[in-house]
Amino acid sequence: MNRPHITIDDTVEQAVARFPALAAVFVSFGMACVGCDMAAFDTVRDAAAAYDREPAELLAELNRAAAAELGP
Amino acid sequence: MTAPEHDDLGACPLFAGLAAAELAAVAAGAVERRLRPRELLFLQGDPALELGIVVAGRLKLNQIGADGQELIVRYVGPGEICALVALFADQLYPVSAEAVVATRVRCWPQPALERLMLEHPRVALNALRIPSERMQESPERLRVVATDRVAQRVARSLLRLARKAGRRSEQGVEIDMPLSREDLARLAGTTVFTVSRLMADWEAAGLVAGGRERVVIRYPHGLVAIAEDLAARQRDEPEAGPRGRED
Repeated sequence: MNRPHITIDDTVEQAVARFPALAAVFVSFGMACVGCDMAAFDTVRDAAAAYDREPAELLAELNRAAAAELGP
Repeated sequence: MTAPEHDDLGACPLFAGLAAAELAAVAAGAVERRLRPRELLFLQGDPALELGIVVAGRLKLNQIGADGQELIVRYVGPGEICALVALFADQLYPVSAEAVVATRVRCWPQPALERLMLEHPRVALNALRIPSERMQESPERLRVVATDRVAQRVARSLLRLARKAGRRSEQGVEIDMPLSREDLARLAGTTVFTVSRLMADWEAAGLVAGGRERVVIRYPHGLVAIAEDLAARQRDEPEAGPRGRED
């Protein structure tokens, strides 16, 4: 795989601003990050920890969605 | 460390759409006022003679009710407007504006604003848009006061401030301005006693830290969970996530 679109240290807000489709991924993980006041400060890693999700799993899913949004 | 300077008038929604030459003329009509911390820019009930745009620093807008209770209406930071009411003649300031830190404000006298709107109808249209945007926030705040528990209101107030004046630090998200327990009580519409008790609880739980006029949100998600009543919601509806929580 080539360079990932999202890294674990991106803030949630940066990530969703770049790829709006990621909003759905956070929702599917049961995370209320989208539109949250803290999304500007919390990274993908922080958010995963806050909701007790596997960071690698979340990140992989986010990158899959980002790639899909960019198209082939 | 301090908030960024905001010298770009074109970025201010009030002057959006004006050409560079027009912006220069607008800028020439302003007077810059420098305030020390706690100094007042204007007082509630006084004739509204000037509209201000904050260049650097931060103002606190206070309203005192008939019963003497003080409420913080909002904080105004760089690039933001205060006293929009001064666009119109013969108005009174509905709030007092006090500098929270050393603050610089560009002020335009009322007659100049009226001339400006007559010359550039776009400014008048821009001006109309601002209160309508603020009005969309009001029902939200009203709902919060009417229905939320006190803890939710205080948590929401902290999160709102963090959004506006937050700075990521080693310890978490620091609210980058002096903020006393009294301020927080006046923002959330509650008593200092209640705020102090909540802050002590949250400090013990590792959610926040701070001194007398300083607040750091150490575990942002914990405050969000209180503000949004997330735990309660998760109890109501089973989680939709691919990985349920095993507890």
